[in-house]
Amino acid sequence: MMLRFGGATLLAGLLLLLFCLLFYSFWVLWQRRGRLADIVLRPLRPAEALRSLLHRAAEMGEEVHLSPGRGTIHEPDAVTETTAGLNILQAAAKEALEVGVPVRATAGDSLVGALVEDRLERAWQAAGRPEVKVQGELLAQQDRLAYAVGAMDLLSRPEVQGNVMAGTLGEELLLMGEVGARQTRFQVVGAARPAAAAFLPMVTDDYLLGEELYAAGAYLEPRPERVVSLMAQDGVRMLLLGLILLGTILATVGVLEGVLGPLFQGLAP
Amino acid sequence: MLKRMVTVIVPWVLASTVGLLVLLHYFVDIPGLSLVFNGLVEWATIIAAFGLLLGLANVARVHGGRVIRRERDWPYSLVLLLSALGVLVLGLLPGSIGSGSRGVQWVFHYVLEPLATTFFSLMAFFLASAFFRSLRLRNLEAILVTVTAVVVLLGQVPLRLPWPFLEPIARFQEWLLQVPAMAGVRALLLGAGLGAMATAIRVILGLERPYTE
Repeated sequence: MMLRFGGATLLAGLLLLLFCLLFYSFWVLWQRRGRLADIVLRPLRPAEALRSLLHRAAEMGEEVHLSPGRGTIHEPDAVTETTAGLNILQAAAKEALEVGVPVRATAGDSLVGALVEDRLERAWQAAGRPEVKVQGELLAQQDRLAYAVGAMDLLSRPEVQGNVMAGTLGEELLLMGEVGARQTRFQVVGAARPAAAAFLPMVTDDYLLGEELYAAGAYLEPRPERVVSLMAQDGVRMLLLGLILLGTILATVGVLEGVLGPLFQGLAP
Repeated sequence: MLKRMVTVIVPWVLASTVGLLVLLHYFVDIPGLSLVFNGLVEWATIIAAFGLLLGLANVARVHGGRVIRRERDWPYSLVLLLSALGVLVLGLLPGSIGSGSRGVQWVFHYVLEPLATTFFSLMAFFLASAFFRSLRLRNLEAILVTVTAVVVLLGQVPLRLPWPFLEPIARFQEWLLQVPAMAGVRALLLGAGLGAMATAIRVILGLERPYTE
């Protein structure tokens, strides 16, 4: 048995440890004090805007399209984005169904399609509005082109007037988002990949960029574990920010190479 | 109780155990664990293959129903079903080697790839359309993105040699890519990485269960 503590693994281990420590501490605080989240959570405009947009859609009698992107659930580079997207989808579906907005959800992978159906079912049961229409649709099987074409066709239908698309999205986001911007009344789009990031402000004002994609679930459906996890995530982020600033200053005055450089280089596997 | 055991507890225990094992394998090199890890990866591949079958069945059910009920755009559903069946037959013909067979490869090279290339080449027009809309709406972020894209494109075209006035633009685009764009991408990846880690920990601990109720 041998530890692989060197270079990036060391950093990942330390961050993981710190995250778990903060998560546990905030969890204990939550248990003792209760409404801690109201004090600590930063505002997230797209998540807050989603509610009012859905209410407006309900008044107009419009249908909304929901999607966790074209990602899979069994590939390491997409699983967390898709999970975050599914959380947003479920919360948005529940919110929409509660105010009487029909929901049409799509997926770009058969396993994710099954999960989307499951999330819609949960949202439908939680909303308690059996008369409102819910529909899940598998548009493609791990083919971003086919998924984009299917979603564009769906968004161009007159009955679909809202688009909430957050999860695994790459540059194909521009194609779908542009159709959404032209054909629908509102859209909330979220992506964490650099390839999609540049297109987000071009297609909507209400976008979730990078880590906001993972944070949105805690705002839309504030379960204790999600809120506490978000607080721990923010804590680690602040610490990293401080370390980067410190590192920049140390590197500028020429101290960093002699101290931290050998530590990471020497321990690299 | 039995239903809860099957739909909640067993999947949760399995997912958490497997998640912890894989996480442990990342930090600790245990020879026996490597075998388990490789086995798990094979299992994931097999399950994904079953997912493909599930997808095919779902597509056949949804689009077959549309054709039978003559719903809106049913001819497209028929084309989809016939195309899927055609590629399946090509891969299952006697003497065929599945996805590597000549017929399937022909479909990929001469139908799917040109379609994909053609479709993605439309992105330039979509970008232009998005830019003009952003200008109309005076969306500062979108205008910045587009102006940067134009500068980077101008800086990378091979017209620099006959037109020396493009040289400063080329130097500016290099700086743009190496300093602000790189910093932005790193910040984005760092934030997304932390978010992914938090989601993964919640899934491993069973606090978030995307796979079950």
